[in-house]
Amino acid sequence: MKCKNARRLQNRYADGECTDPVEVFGIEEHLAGCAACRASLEEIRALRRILVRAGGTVTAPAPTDEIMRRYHQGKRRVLLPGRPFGLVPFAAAAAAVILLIGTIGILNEGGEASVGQYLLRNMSETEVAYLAIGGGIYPHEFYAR
Amino acid sequence: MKDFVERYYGRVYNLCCSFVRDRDEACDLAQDVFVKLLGRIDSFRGEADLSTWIYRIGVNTCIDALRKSKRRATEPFDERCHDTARADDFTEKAAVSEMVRDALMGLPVKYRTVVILREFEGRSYREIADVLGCSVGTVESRLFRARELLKRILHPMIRREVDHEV
Repeated sequence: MKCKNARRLQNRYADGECTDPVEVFGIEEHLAGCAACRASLEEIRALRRILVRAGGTVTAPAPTDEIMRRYHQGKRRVLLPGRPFGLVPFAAAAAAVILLIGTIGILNEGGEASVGQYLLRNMSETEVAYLAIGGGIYPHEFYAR
Repeated sequence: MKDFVERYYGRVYNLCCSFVRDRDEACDLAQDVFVKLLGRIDSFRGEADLSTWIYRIGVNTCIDALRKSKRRATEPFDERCHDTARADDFTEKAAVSEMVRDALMGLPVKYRTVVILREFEGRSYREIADVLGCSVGTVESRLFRARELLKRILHPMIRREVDHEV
């Protein structure tokens, strides 16, 4: 085995991940005759010891109640995936459109019927709101179920 | 569910402490990890080992947080992250630990991750590959590069360690 191959295998060997007996034999044979690769392997082992010592173990009490609270809060939100504020934006948009239609209606009072007046005369507020949020014409057959 | 949190919190918190140096940030991250774990626990089919699944979500959460915060290696070290490094007992051991942590934090995230999983968490190459969703060869290659970088940065310390061992 050449130094290049031995260096490539050294990490695996140092980590005890070299399971192929042929590879193990090859690297051990090379290490026995190569001081430079032996030194390199020792450096890897030394680095590992240093890292393990620096790792340490941190102890901290588990904030279980806080985690459970956040988990249950998240579960409620799952009912409206991707809508952290629920239907509030839709309701606000619908209210704005109704207000706009009403305003147009008042301004056009006495003149020709506006679109707003027409809509309010012929559709319920729910239907107008549904139209406002991009739902199209209110599906009566769906509503009737 | 509370038992699950109690049982695995220490492990997840330690993992988070390895990625970020601020203890409060690690605590927030560990909470994020558990909220995700609890939310997805129904989808855990037992195809992977439970600890691998926990590490996978933990590591991904930490990496996402690092990307978002664009954390730099020059940030000050938080002593509180180590029981061995208390401010009133700032020994040489703690100073060494700080230098090692600094070196680790300076590595690209993909290299740092394999070192944390291998050296701090004691995972095998196969387990690391499963956690990261890559091949064992990729783990080996990243670990090789990570150690080459660390050997360069920590060379004097490694020399002392080798001499001490001899």
